[in-house]
Amino acid sequence: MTQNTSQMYKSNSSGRNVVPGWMKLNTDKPDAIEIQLDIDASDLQRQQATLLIEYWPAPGELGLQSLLPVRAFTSSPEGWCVFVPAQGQVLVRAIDTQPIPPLLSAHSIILDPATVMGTVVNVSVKFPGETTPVGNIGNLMLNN
Amino acid sequence: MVQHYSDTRTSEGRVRFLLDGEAVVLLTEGSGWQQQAQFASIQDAVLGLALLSDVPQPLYAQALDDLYRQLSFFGQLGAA
Repeated sequence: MTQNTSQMYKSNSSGRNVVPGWMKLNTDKPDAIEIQLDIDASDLQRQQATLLIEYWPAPGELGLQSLLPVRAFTSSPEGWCVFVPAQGQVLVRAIDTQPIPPLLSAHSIILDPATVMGTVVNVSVKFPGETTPVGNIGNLMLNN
Repeated sequence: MVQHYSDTRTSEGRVRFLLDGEAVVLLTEGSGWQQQAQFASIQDAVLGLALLSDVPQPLYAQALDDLYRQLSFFGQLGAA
């Protein structure tokens, strides 16, 4: 077999796994910010849920896009992070396609060029709980 | 010599963990797609599998089950 080894990197400071590809996004600017991604414990059983992470170095210019399935959090106690330079914008979208209608939420982080090297940002994802349907089964059965 | 460590097939696809010397090779395939990646450790390969959104959840869960069964039976990589 001749393929290259896919290296999994960890943050030196936090010990978290780095989402593959999310280091040294900009060759001219250092990785100033560690964005730590957390999922609420109650959401770990969501089998279809995923985080979509996007880096936009400038408006209209998509730099990198990655899917981080929630199951990746269950196979790794260290958790996950991404490294970004102090420039542009990061979008984190949380998606769960299992319920109908699907759950979808977005969070945007604008990266201030004046950010100090080594800054840590936390993004905590918690999906809404089971929503109570309007009315209840008893009411529905009255209509039969 | 490449050694098959675990081989999981469901109606949705197939996941194989192979040992190639010190490296762990992850082969995944389904209808119309296949991927191959090499990792430095079994832990990294498991993380890599979790990140593959092409692999449906039931196949993923079954592949981990099979892998853990092999690991608990043989104790450690290379012992098989």
